[in-house]
Amino acid sequence: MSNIAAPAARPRRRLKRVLAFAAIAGPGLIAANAGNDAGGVLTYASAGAQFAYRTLFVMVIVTVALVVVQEMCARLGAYTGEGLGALIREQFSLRASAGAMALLFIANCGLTVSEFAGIGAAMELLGVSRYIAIPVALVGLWALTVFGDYSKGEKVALVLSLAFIVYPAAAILAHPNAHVVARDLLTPQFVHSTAFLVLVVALIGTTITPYMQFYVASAVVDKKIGPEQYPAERVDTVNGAILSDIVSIFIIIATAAAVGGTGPLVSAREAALALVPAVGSAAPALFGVGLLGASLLAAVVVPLSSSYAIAEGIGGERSVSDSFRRAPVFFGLFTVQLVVGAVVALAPGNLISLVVNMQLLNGVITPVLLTFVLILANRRSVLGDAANGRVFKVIATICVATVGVLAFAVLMLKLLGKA
Amino acid sequence: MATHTLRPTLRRIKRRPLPHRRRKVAVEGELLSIAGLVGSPVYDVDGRRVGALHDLVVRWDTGEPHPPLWGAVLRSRFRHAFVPASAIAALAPASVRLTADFEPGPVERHPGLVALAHDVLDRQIVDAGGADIVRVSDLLLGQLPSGIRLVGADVSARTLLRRLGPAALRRHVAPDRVYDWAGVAAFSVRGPGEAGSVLRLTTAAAQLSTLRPDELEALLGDLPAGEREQLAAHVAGKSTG
Repeated sequence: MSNIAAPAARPRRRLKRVLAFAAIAGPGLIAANAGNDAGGVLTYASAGAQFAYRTLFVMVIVTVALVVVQEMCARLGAYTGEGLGALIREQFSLRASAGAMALLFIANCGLTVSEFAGIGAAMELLGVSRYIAIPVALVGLWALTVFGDYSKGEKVALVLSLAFIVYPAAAILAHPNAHVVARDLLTPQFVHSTAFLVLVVALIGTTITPYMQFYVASAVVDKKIGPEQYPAERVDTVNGAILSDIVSIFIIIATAAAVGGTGPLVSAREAALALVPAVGSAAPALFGVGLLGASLLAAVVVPLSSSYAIAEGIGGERSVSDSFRRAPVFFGLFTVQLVVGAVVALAPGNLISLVVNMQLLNGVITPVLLTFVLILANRRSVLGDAANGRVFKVIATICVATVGVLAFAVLMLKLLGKA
Repeated sequence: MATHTLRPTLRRIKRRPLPHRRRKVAVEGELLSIAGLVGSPVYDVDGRRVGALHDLVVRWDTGEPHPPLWGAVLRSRFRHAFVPASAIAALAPASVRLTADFEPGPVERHPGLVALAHDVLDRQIVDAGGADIVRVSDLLLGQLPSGIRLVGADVSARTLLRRLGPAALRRHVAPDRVYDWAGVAAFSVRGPGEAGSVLRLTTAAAQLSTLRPDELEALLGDLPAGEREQLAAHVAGKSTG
């Protein structure tokens, strides 16, 4: 972590170190970093722009919850050898399972919308209209996944998204008021406004996304990690969650130092100002490249993960190497999400607020799906001796309940038209 | 009375022709849906309601292709009780009637018995002929000359949708989607006591040793680790022994 936080004195060496680190890291790390997608980056940037450093303490708490939740998901994957989709189908009534899958599908449709909005915003920064970029991306990503070899495209997108590694450097070079940053990190600085509450739920939604929980569990199963290898996997998962949130916190700090307190973020160009201290006039281009990479990556991974979970629950084929005919449910759901994502992102309007609203949708759905995860991880009939112990049960329940209360409050405010 | 001929193997498996033509099974009378039966009222001989059906238990380790019905688990006021198959006078799609001299006993669990709704429904089965792993959408009981037996499984997504609907729809059976239980090589059940799940291997599991190595590998890859080892050990034992 210290090399991430180091100043940008020798960028090449730092990049090398980061790449080496990424190479030895497992699915937990990749999953957590994929969390810094378009939705994540733009929501963290929005938090910095609107409330400066005031959301930092929330992020510290959210990190604790993220660690607790992802550890449970990885443990469920390792000890049962099944993804969350299959476990929910086996352990809950069919109606409850169908409800959970429907919510996951809605949440991921929302995320896919924000990834396409990210592609649109990034390409506009790079000088291409989103009305061209989004349809091209839709067709390209769909064809690459269904007919081609997605893993090659994934590597390119991953390299592009590494542009966001400049954030920690930018945050430090912007010389934020260290005293204020430390205070806001360590003590609660709640703002008494509905806008703040709404943003907190969006932050929760983008950090503890339902998609990520399913992804972590499936990735562990996919790597055939069993109970014997789990202790090492646990370290990986916890580190990944913490590391990803440290990057998120740097995004908030960098944006707060650049445009903090100027109100809600209105454009990607404004968000890119946060990178100026590190890279100067190249900031918009670099931000655009990073956003494009992160969005392209997640625009495929997010809909794939819900298609996988639902196909797993139903019991159908679910591999990108299968043909459309052999795995119709899997590819059908994937296609629907991609199309919904692209079409909604093409609607005229502010892309940034669209993205934040989609994270809010995730934030409202998250506690429901976390309840399923919590019940599964508590059950000795599922995990045997690896089930949640008494202390862990209390901590995990507090995390899920807190997220639930906040989400419920925001949902009510939205329904009553107060937010 | 209607006669249903069950599908010998899964329709969607077209990887290769079946190793041999399997005997078709004709079932007299109605096929009873386990998903539809669970929760149905249970009446005594005088028509008094004595509880709701919690589950139906079959004996799977008799070496026969279709496991015979062993008994039923009733639920009444937070208590569970077991009645043997001999005490079941009639099994209808939406109700169970018991004989005059039924005596509810304690629910016993032993490895030869399997509770269909809680242990098999919604879990995975291994198809012997086509080499695939599928999830059970519904299980079907039918009247064979030798008595009521578990005759088939439905693995279709359409049946899942049907189960999400109201009770009347839940009990509706589509016989053309029912797959003969004799083709099931193994099924996954809740593990005894603590652990996750274990496989129960049927006599049809012997057919798995005729699979090509790549087919076997693909099959094993779809199972959780514990079950994978169990099936691999079984197939290895069969081919060497």
